[in-house]
Amino acid sequence: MEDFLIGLSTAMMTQNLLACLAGVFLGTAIGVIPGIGALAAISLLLPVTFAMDPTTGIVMLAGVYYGAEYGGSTASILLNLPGTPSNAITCLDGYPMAQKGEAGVALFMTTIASFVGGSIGILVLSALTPAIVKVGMAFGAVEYFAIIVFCFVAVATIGGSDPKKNFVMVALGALLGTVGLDIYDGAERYSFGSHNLIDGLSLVPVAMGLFGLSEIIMSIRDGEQRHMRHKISFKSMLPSAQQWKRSFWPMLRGAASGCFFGPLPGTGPSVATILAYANEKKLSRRPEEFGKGAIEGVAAPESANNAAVQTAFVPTLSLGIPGTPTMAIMIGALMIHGIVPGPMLMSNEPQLFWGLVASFWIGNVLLLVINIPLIGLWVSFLNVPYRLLYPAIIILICVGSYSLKNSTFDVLVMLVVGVAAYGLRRHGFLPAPLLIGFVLSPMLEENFRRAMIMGRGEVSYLFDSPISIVTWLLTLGMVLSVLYRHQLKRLAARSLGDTTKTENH
Amino acid sequence: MARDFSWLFIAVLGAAAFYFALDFKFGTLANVGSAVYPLILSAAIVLISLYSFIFSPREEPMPTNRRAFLSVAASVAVFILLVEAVGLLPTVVLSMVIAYGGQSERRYPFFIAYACVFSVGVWLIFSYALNLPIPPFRLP
Repeated sequence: MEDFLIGLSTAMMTQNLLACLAGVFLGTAIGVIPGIGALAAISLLLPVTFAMDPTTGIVMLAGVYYGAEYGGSTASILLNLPGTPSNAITCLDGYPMAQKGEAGVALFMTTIASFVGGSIGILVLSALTPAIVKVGMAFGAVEYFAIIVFCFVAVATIGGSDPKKNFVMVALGALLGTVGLDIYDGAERYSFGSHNLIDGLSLVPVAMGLFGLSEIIMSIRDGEQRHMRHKISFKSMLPSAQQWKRSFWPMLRGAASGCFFGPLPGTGPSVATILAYANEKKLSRRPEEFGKGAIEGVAAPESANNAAVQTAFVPTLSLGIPGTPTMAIMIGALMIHGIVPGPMLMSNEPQLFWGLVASFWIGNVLLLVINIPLIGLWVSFLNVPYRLLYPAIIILICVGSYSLKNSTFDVLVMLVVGVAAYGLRRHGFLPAPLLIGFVLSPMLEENFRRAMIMGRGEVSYLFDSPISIVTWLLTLGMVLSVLYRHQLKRLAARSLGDTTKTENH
Repeated sequence: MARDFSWLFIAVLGAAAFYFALDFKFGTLANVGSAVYPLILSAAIVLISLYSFIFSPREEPMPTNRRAFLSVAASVAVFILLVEAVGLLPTVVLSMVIAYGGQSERRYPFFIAYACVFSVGVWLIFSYALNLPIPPFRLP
């Protein structure tokens, strides 16, 4: 409690409150724009925090994160275009509600559900992180190595798409993470004599290329016109008593789903929202209303989304291991500010850790306070044509990359990564596993090499502790489940082929 | 079976990374050198990519919006080439106009005015608020 009060006093400092407000506002404004997610928003605003105190900078970026996640729901409800991937599920019932003239109620319930989910997520984060930190204190190179491999496999197998494609993207990202001077033997890896590459590739241009530039190219559509018909008054936003009643339990169950999936690597808010929605549909007495404007279909996923956003910070802050690409960027941001996330963060930087936790809650209150009166503003944002927005976003990405080292080299890196990511995305390769591989790569290699030194070259040393054995077994389980599913699919395809042949005869 | 050549492209990338990693130090099992980790990663990339190239069926790629792709890439390239040579304001306006060419609307006078206003805003934010040492204009 004492720690939390220290955090609260840090979070209540004027500059931190302003940073939180700015982060939530800008995050929501960017999140509202379809196709620009939290990751692009954080990458875009990361350079802005360089001039700030580390705590203030991280408070602002966290505000951008949950602001963008919240803002994404506005486009989902009003345009049937999800602002962020985790808001996609909100389209299913949010948009039909808007078509029935209940856009205001859907947006209001989104705000309340986000607040409830976020608040429960913060409680879980406050309780769980210290417990995991205690376990994390016992972690050595062997355990970290096993857990990072587990993360890689989880990201590759759980995140949807083809696991082979995800594995390759993780490995490509990890390979990009090896560029530069090796700290152990001083070898220059993949720098090809360029002094710009000796320090390795910077996170910001890689993230901006992966998620900013490639996304813009994919989002440009000819003849795009959006006209918002919705006039939203405060009165039209208030849900009826029946709608409150129908939303109460879904909100809590959604938060539980978010709290469970948020900290797990490879899942994050997207999986949490899908499962929260599926769960509500299964439990509902009116499942036929889902997809046609059921308010539970808005409340549960939005609550799950914000709960997952908050609890995703558990492994990031306690172990320094990001489970999602957004958390990978947050780790990068912490490191740029000279803070090493991990078990020692809570004891070395209590004002930062607890200040961040307290600011999360303040940020959730700000989401509630500013977004209900500002819903009209966000709706008008959706009227700004994308053809005016995207050239401006390209400039912000370029200047943001340039501002890192006042060098055009980082802009070039962003361009090359963006073009490559666009090509890969066209062929179904997702950029998120690549970013996680890139961020975790130095940590994986360092722990592997340290473990081999400590084990005096004995490979069996990598499997020498109970934590590492359990982690390796979980990793093996995931790989086997993918192979099993693959085999089942092949058998199903073969039997379908046999049936078709018999019918043709 | 039609092949997915994107896998072959990635396999070539992996093979190149493997080839360059052979020049790094190997070390010993007790003191692993800088070559081992990139060799493992690049070998994994080559093996998975070749397997997929041979055994996975081709999936139709998403259609390319060639004009959008070229205009966005050219816009960034112009930024790289000009920002230090002519300064921020003309670079931002020119880059934005090139990027605008990625879609079909052609209201250039309005867009140029918009780009001019935006460039001043960007310069004010990055130069004054964030202390980026980047001049608004620079004579070549």
